[in-house]
Amino acid sequence: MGKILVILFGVIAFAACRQQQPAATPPASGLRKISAADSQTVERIRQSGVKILVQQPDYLIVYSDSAQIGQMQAMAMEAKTATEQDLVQRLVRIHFTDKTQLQKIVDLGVDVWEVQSDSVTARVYDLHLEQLKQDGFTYRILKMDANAPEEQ
Amino acid sequence: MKAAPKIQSRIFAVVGTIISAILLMGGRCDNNGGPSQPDAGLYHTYAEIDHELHELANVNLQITLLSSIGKSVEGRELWAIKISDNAGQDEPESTVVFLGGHHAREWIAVDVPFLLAKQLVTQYGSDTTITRLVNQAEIWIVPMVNPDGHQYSVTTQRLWRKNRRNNGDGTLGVDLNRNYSYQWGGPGSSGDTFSDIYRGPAPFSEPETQAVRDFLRQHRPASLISYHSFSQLILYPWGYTDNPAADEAVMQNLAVAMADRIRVVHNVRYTPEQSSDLYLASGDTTDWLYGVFGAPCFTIELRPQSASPGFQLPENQIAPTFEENLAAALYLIDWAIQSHSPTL
Repeated sequence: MGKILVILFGVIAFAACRQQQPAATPPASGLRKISAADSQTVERIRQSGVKILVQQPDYLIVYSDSAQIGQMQAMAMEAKTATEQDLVQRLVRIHFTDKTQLQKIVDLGVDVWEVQSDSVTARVYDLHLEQLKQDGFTYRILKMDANAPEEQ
Repeated sequence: MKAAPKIQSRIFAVVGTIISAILLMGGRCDNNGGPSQPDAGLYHTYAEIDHELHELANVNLQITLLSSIGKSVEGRELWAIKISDNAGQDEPESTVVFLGGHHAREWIAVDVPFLLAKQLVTQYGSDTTITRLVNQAEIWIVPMVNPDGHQYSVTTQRLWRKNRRNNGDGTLGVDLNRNYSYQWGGPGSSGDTFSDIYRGPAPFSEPETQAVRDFLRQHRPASLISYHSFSQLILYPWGYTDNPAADEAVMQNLAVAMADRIRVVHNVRYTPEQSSDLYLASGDTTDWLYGVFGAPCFTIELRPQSASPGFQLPENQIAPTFEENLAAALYLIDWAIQSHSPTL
């Protein structure tokens, strides 16, 4: 009887903890991780309309809908589920000339940390940097991984 | 020979118990793999706030009432403490509400309202100003509106901002201070789930903002402060538009008066201004409260002034930040008592 109870307890505990694990199946649309993409691949992805959120030397994080995922599969790209740790953000100082420009920066969805008279310090994805560049903003990267702990 | 099965059975039971314990402890289901007792140094974690609020309420039954206003996405209680002379009764007195910790990484914005609660309770009966204010007002403090995000900030990613909603697309989190319904979806918020200012799929989509909304509807505060960090600002509505609010003069005067009182304490300057002077942002707490109930309300961006040290305010600044903001909070409670006719 004791043995059965102990086994039962163990099974329940194991099942309870398994329930807390993140789902293994990737969602129909959303974030995907593509490993070791060369510049041609990056360009093909860009042209397909997929948002490249993060561009690291050894992987890309893209945000795509189900149709775009199909397109990527057709291009023989292996897209895996991205983890939160893959979502690298940059800390940047972006320059603006007036309040309209400042609002344009904010409305891109960047994470504004500090506003000064002619610049804003913000945490951004590479996607935002691409948009800022296209909109003619100048910026300087202060930290390649905004979330990395400060060095002592 | 009969003893062998008994020993075998005991060994089995011991091994089974150890395995069960490991499974239970190891997966204790801190989803982030963090330690089960997170440590934020001198800053308060969710567990510490929970424990200390209960302790504070248990030894001061006459002047405190501790209740949960709802639960977070991950099921943590959102604690609110009422401080008043007869806390168990609804008296015809002005209500003033202090909220903290909408944004996970802004640890000082949890400690300031928590320390305010502690100060009001422990100094009641000995400090004449505090005793008078507690006697004449109903003060509610919700120190941590976003406990899941705060916990994640303590255990896993220090600079996390949003709550911990699973958005279903591989991203997590909604910016709670863009999720209130007044002018929801306007400028300064994002529809991108990965954005740090993601406003959520609908106004009040989040249990945390729903809880605050229902709580404020029930208590109809005469005024409110929502603490954030950083930049040393005292902001008042509107945030979604540059147009001035109908009560701009009242709110501006109050903001200036609070900034003056803050400055007297440690000679630190907080700038009073309309929220939109910084940049336009929609769906925040104060626009909603002012837009719906017309109550003068404020977002105080606490120390420091700039991005270095930014959200990671050194621990030795917790006490002075609280001390200067105590002066502003007491001023606002006094104003509410003097000028506002309470509703019951």
